[in-house]
Amino acid sequence: MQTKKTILSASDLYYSYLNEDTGEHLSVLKNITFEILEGEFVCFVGPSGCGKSTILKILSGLEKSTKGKVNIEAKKIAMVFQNSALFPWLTVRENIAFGLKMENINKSEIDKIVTEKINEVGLSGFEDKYPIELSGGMKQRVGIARALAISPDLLLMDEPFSSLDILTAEKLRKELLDIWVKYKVTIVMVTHLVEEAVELADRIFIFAPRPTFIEEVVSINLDKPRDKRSQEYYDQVDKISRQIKT
Amino acid sequence: MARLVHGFHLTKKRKHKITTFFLLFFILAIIITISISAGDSLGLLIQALCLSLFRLIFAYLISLFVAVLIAISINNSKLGDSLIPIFDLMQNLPSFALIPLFVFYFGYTSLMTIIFAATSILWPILFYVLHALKTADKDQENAARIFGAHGLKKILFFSLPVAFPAIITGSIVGFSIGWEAVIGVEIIGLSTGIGPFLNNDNSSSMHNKTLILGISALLVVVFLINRLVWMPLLKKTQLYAN
Repeated sequence: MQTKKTILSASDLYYSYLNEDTGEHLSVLKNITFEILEGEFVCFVGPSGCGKSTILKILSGLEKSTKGKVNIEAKKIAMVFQNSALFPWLTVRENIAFGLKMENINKSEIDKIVTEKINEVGLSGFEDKYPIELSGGMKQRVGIARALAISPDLLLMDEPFSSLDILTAEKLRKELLDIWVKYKVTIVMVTHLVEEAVELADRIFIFAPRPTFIEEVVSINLDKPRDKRSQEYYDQVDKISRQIKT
Repeated sequence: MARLVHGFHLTKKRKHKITTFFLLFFILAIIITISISAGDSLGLLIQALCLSLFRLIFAYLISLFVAVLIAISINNSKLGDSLIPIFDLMQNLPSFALIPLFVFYFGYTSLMTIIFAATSILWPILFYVLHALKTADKDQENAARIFGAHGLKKILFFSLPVAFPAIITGSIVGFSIGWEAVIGVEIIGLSTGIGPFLNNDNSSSMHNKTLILGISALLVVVFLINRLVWMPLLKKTQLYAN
């Protein structure tokens, strides 16, 4: 059997920050150690505000850990944000092209890739619209297309569907699974919805309340796409929900 | 498309457009009538207005460049925050109090007028832009960084677009302050420009005519700049709303 290589690892991560109002150092992360394999879909779940998004920021290089080491084998990292974080002054097409433009790729190649991604996420006909003219679901599709456009081998997602209505979120989760299968990209997703994590993830990291650490790692050995009405699915959701301490 | 702000609805109303047109027509009629009766005043007026406008535009471009440069530098530097109180103190200094200082170095010249006006226009642009950069959406900034916008690319493709609405708002405020600065210095110590044209020979019977002519022409120029430059740019800033 072929063993998958580690694409991302963190060892003994600590993170704290100074609260300027009280002068106190607030500890957010302590002793976070994990490995994520190439092509895996991993979800981080835990109580609200425990520091899951902080880990994602450290992994993406947006924040520096106070102590510990992150080792990333991925050549390209992309991120999808909770509120989509599109640039309001750019059209759908220009937003998707942003990362490619930063890589100084020629215009015809950018056009080709962007058109492909627009079709893939179902945004044909909306190419020249501005974010202000789009619904929440469409904005998130643009966010996903912008991330996929740079062909990342590691995709970080910070609660990407939490601000969407149930039906749109459900549809986008299915599309995300298709994308994951098609591109074989490693995905690390933060979510506060256990059902979402059980539906999508190969492994779920359960985080403790702040200062957070990994309480448990649960492997979900159910075939994808998962039957959300099956007893196994319910059992997993129930088991993990009980483990999350608020 | 987002609803435009109240101001745009006002100017889009047909009644408003007709009133504006008649007002402009009336002012132009005054200018033409007076200039016919006052000999070669129209030629002198255009010359004076062009010179003042040239000084103002020059001063504005200098302030725009310096203000945006300072705002971006402050925003990107850890030491930058400590400079804000200093700039805040400096902007509170009445600008006309600095005239003797500028006269000492440059005399009453076009250069002095431009530099003096630039120091007046600078502050609103600087503070508007600084505020826009400081309050920029953190996730958008993070997205720009993750997708490769660093250094000059970040300035060109993130900071400047983020600051664009503030640049326009600051420019509108700064430009009107600039008019006051330019005309003020011209009246005090220069012999050319719209300031001296308004102030010229105030003992003569022609004075009232040239005063009305000058003010009317100023109104037209300010109106046209607002309509043709600032309003379209301000309308464009609506797209930048999150």
